Amino acid sequence: MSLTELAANKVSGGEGSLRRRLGRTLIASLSDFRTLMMQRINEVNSTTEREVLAAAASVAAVVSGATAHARRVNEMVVSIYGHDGGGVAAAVARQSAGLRRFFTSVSRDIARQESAAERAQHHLLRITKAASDTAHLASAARLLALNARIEAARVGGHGNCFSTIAGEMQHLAEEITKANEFIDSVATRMSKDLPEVAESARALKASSEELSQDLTVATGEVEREVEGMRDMIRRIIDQSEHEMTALVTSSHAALSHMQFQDVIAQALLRLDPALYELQLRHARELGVEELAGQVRAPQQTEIGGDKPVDQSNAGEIVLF
Amino acid sequence: LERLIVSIEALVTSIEGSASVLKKVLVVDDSPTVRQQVGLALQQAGFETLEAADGAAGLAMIKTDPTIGMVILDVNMPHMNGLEMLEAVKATGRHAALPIIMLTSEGQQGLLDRAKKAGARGWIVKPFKADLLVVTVRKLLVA
Repeated sequence: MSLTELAANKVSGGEGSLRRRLGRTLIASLSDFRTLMMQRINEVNSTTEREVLAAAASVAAVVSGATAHARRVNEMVVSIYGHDGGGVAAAVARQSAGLRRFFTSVSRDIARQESAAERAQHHLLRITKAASDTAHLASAARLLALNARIEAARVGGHGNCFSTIAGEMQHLAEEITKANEFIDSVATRMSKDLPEVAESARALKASSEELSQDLTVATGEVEREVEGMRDMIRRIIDQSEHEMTALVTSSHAALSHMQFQDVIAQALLRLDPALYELQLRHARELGVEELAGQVRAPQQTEIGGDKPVDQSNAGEIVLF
Repeated sequence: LERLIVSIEALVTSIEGSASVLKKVLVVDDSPTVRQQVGLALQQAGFETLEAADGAAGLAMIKTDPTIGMVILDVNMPHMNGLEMLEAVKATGRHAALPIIMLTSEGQQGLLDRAKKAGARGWIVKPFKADLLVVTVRKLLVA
């Protein structure tokens, strides 16, 4: 007998009999429905549980992969540039300082060369003047020798000693003249070479200073670039940490949302105890209490009974 | 002085051992998705986690694994529910100081009172917020 037939009053018998037949049919139908419903609920719960487990594992894999990647990038950056790019900056600063010291030393040496050349030119002038003075001396000696020779001729035999002195003085004058000519020739050659040395030193000094200035500009640019790189590395590391924090926060949010699968699954499972209670009530009300013992008990009941899926205090933490 | 140094080294080793113990959290829930979600949230925060699917299994693990430093416990579970497990753990005396947090969809004050009386340290209503759970676990483990 179906419920439709009962509703159409196509059954015979008294009111009590009708209620009992109605009760038996209703309870049997509810049992069938509960069985089918639980079968479907278990299927749904099993499927959603499997999918949520896979989704959460995927989220965890993404976080784990991104974390490992970010860690590797950070380690690489730190190994190359130091914790804040200071490794490269320090190396460049050391190189710059070394080059500056080198060029300062070179400039100092060149300046000493230039000074030495100038001093040599000064000494050469003094030598030239001394040679000139010596030439006058030789001239005076020759004149004195001539006078001595004239005086020796005038006094005759008594002037032999004058004649000897005149000869010696003549010889001395000639030696002085030779020496003077040698000094003059050396001085002439030096006076040609020394200005070239001095000019060469000045040119070297000028090019060294120019190179040093270029180096200062270049190292300044490199240091600025390195500083920019340090800022960039700091930003990369900060951004990486910020993004990792955001990723973990997002994954936590995703895990929080995924928990609704369990909440909904539990809510669906709570339908069975509710229907079980309904069956027992109908058995009492329709006068078939003997059937209550035959109704299948729910597999699981919750301590707190049924409750809404979306609870207002969800996520609340109470610490005792 | 040498004896003092040996004592200090032993103390340091003991403290390091305690720190590793404190980081291991047992998650007891009949739902594999909840166990996984709690586990992932805590593992990302640096904690080690263990899992049990019901109160009886959880109780057995606590009795055999001394490295468990904290328990997150569901209420509604087959075989032995969370409140029964909580009361059984606290009844042993040996684990009376073990911090236990209830994680459940239940919110009835009577159940909270029962858990508090049994020695639970907190009550979290599902679905939990993962970041708040991590903060709570960290706070209780450090304390």
